[in-house]
Amino acid sequence: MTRLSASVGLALLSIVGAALVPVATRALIGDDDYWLQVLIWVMFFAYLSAAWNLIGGFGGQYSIGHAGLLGIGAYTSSLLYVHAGVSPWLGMLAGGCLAAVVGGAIGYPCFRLRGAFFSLVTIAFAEMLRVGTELTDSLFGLPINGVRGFLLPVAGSRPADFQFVGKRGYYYVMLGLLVIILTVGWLVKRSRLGYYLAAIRDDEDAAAALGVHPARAKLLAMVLSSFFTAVGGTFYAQLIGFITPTRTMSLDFSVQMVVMPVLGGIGTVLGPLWGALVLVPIGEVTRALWGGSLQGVHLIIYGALLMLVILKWPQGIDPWLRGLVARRRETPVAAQPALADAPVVAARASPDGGEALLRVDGLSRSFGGAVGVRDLAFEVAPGEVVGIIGANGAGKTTVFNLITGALAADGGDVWFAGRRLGRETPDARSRLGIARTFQIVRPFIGLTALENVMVAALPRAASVAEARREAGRWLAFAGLAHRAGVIASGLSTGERKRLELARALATRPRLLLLDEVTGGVDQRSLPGLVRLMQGIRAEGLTLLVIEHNLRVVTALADRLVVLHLGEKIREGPPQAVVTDPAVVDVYVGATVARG
Amino acid sequence: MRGLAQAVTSGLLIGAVYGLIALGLNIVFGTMRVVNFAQGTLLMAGMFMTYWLWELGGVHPYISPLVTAPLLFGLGFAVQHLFVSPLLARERAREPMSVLLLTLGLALVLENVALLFFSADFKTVTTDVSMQTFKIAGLIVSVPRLVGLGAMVATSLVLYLFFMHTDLGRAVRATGQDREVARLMGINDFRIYGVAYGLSAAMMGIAAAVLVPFFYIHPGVGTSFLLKAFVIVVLGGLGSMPGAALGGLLVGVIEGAVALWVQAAVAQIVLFAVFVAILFVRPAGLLGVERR
Amino acid sequence: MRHGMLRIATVLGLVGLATMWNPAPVGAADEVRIGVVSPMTGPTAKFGQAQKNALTMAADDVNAAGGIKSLGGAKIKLVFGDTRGEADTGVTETERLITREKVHALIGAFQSGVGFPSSAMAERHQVPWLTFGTFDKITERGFKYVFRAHANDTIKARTLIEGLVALGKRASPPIGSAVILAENTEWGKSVSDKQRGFLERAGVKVHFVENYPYAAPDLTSLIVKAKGVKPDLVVADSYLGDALLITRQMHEQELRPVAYAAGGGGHVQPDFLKNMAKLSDGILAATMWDAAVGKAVPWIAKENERHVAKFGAPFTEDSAGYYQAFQIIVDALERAKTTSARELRDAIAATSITDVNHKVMFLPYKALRFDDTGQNPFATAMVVQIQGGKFRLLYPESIAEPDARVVWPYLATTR
Repeated sequence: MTRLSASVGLALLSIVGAALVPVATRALIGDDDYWLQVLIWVMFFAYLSAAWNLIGGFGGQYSIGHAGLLGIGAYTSSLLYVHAGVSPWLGMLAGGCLAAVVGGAIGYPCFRLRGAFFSLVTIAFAEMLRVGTELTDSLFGLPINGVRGFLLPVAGSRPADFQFVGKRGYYYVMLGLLVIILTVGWLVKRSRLGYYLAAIRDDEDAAAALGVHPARAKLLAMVLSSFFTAVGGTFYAQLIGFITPTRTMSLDFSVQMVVMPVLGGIGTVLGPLWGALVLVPIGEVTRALWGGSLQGVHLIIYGALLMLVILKWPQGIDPWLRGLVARRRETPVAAQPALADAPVVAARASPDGGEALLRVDGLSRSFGGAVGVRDLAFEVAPGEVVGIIGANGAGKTTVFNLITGALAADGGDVWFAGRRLGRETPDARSRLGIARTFQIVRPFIGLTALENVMVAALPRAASVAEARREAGRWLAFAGLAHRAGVIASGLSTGERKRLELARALATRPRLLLLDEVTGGVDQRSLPGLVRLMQGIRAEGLTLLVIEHNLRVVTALADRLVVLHLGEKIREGPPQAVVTDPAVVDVYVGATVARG
Repeated sequence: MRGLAQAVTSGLLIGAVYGLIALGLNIVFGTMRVVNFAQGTLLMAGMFMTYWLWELGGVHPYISPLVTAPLLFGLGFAVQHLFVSPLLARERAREPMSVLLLTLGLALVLENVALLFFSADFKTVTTDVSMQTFKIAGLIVSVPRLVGLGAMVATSLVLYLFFMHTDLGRAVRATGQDREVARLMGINDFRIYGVAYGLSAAMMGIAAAVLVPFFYIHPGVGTSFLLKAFVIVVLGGLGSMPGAALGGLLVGVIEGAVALWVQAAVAQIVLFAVFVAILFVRPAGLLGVERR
Repeated sequence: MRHGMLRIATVLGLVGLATMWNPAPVGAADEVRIGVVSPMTGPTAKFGQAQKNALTMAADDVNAAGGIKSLGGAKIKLVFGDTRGEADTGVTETERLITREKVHALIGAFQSGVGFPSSAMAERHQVPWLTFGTFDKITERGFKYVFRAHANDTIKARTLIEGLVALGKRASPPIGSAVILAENTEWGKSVSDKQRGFLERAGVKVHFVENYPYAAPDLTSLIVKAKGVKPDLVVADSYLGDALLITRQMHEQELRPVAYAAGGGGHVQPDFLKNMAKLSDGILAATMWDAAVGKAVPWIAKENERHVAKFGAPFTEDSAGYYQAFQIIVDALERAKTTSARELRDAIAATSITDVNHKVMFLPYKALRFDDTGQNPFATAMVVQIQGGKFRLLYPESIAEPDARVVWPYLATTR
């Protein structure tokens, strides 16, 4: 708590300091509007970058069309002001709401897709809006002057109309907006949404497998981001007094909104501020020094810094600045004490009577001609542990992907708890009670161990605090309590495996799919992991296990299913299966050949 | 009707050049799932190389790819090796989105370095073919653009043969399908990425050679082609080579027809609208295959 | 913890210092500071460079000749502000020049879209602003400190159309119909509207005006559309890249109007001639200045020769305009005998020169005076024609080259 109050204290101090700047400059160097103007630009770009950061940084969805949203804000408030006499203060909110709707509308379809699509769509959106506005001379009968730009009448000092004489008024408005957006960022970061976004940014599949609804989280972040970006647009229009689509909605602007938070520390709360504090002055200084002789030097510096930061300091300068504040501070979050009340892993009594918990029937999937899985059928009874074995490429992980919905089947059915699964997405299936781990561990590397498990607990928890307590318990169960505050990228492979198990368990699954838990783990950590899996088994949870290590799987499973080239070739009790000559031939033969 | 036929013809011809650029963009996307924002500036670099070869050495633009393509291949390979590889190594299992930002930075640097060295002057190259036209059935066909179409078709064919019938090409495709599996199969994925990046850059040498005789050269010339290439890549299917080629032609035709019927500026909006519609309705693109 | 805050404060302080670190604006008492607002970087940087060259030469001249005499030989110092061709940057730079560099007068800003809001900043701070930029409305806002000595869009469009009609009268075939292809920018839009008006007033049927997208990779369809209506006259208002493209594609699509005219922009730049060779022969263009004016006014020719010797290139239309603006300020300073903004403003407003050999007549008019809006009502433009890779000045007759004859129709020499 002391850390929190110290941060708040520091923040308040900075705000007061910033508020005093105009007074101080007046005393020191007289009326110097240029100085204030530069500071306004710094804060303005920090503000925009922070707004962009809500979706781009926190959620890892890089919009390169935020200038379009800026334009919506600028034009909405300006048109309302000039044609309807609506104060820009209200127009600012109207523009924000309109942009929120538009942002949501362009975001929603993209967020079901991955990666670069969103970036491309946002560029297309901004360009369409720019060209469209350039071609439009009047909108609903109101002149907007197309490419010639829209001039706001100068009304002198009318604070109610968002107009001030001199720069001071704008300075304080911008300072207020900046404080608001940074506070919003701070709140989002510690909220449920913040954890979801961080998880999605690091690994969307893994997040979905834990029951996080990725599209919904991204959509919410986009709506927030759009709203605040448009609010910035209104400020811009009022400050400059002249808006043109060519500039206000330009690709240049969009790119600037990306560069600054990346430099400052993408996904951090204050990163956008640091980015703007460095880059805006660089732009000003290079222009003043070399503007007349060397062309575009500041853009070369921007680009080079962007590359350097991405390559060398992917976290930006934020961690470095934090290091200045507390160089010697210990691992930030205190380790959770192991709790006496060991968690109850599963409801032992199955509601479905004697029926199978999982039934797979005629399941098939091919990849562009190559068979992944063909006509596969098997069942898993409640409380049972079933192992799937087979050589590399036998289709084991594909089966998991089909059960969890990460892949769509070409044919066949998956029944879970008496219900036929159709188009449910991985996150929906997770909420039904199917959890999984991944063959190659996928911790959210930007989050601490505790936070990793919190993401899994959050969809079912009433509050962030409850999820935190819950997560602490699961970490303790997995034997990682002492590592709770460590960033996941600092964990060993064995610890990562444990973390994944804790995460999967925190979703309170009815069926847990374990994909090669012992794979890639060194001999020393192996016994501990096996003990952990046996502990889970002892709790009565239903397990479906892919395992290469035959000794481990025969000890763990009640029954084995053997796959070969996507087809089931044998099924039965472990000892009977592993001694079957056909299985030995396929399985061991392949293993020997491999290596 | 004659007007429309003419607009469509011209659209097809310029569309071929768009397709050439989109092919380059798509090689990188197909293998690395990375959108390369520096593609436009690589084209610009290719155009300046072609220009200087002509200006200083009298080398005809159509011969220049012999020099520029290997140079650009080296540049692409180096960029991949120096900048992209470390990122991919860090972000093994994920969509390497930070590469997108990296290429954005690279584009900023390259474009403005060009501005610094070559100034904002517009340059053109007038060769023997620059102004030549001939008529087929009353339709005017510009010779340098027809060469562009030919170059696009030839390049597509060579690429197809490369990807389908050479070991290296197959390795590139396998890496594009699944990086992990490819690595398990013993393919050095970073070398493959280098090849893909280099190839994609080298293709900008060909595109530059085709463009230079009838277009102008300027540090900012890449941007408008880049945006079109994005549209085409999505339209044809991310990672699909035939999609990029045909998508280019389609975009050229749409552009030509809309510019004739309505106006050229509206064509831009229509293109982006088509782009967004495709993304929403069929994200894999017209000829793309849904991927894992 | 306390230590840490100190460090943060230090870092922030250093960043702040970096911002402040622009060379301290201590204007020497015997120095006149003139701010120049131009695109020094970005896509239009080459124009800014030309403007800088012209002004540097002019300022060196004044300083070498003993400075401003009525101010005890005060030297002139040019302070450059880079707009990057962006309106908001232009506004910021204008403010910087005024509040930090304490300039006494300003010249700017090449692009009208930048000059429009930037000049409002000068008005707000009450510092005289000499416009280069043709957008009519710059001087139609009731401002007191904003002046424009040269032609605005209306004057330029009128000169072009009047010139076309006058030159066409003595030639055949005549012009009955036209299309206008203008870039989709604030300049293209504004000037094409005016041209349409003057053409229609002159009895020419305008089939259509199209504002095409700036820097498009292909404009064939636009040309095909124009060809479909068989115009006698094609007017293009384009930036250089598009001017090159349109001219080449007109040739490819065999669109050969009787006359091919340009509102200015790319068609009158030296680079256009360098790149277009034969296809440019016979293009008529409106410009505010061309070196050919030296044929009729000898001192301008001399001035231009010096410029060529110094920078390897003649004045450009815009650099000539900046030069003129500079000379107006110098003239006003001599009369005002002070750098006080108010009196300098009044001196500029009182400018009244009719002597063609006065330096403010670098763009020669019947007179240079400013009306209540700050516009020079006597400003005119010129019509030049490209002949054999050179601009020949044909109109108005008062300053036309004595030995120049119009080439009619377009590409007559190569048809």
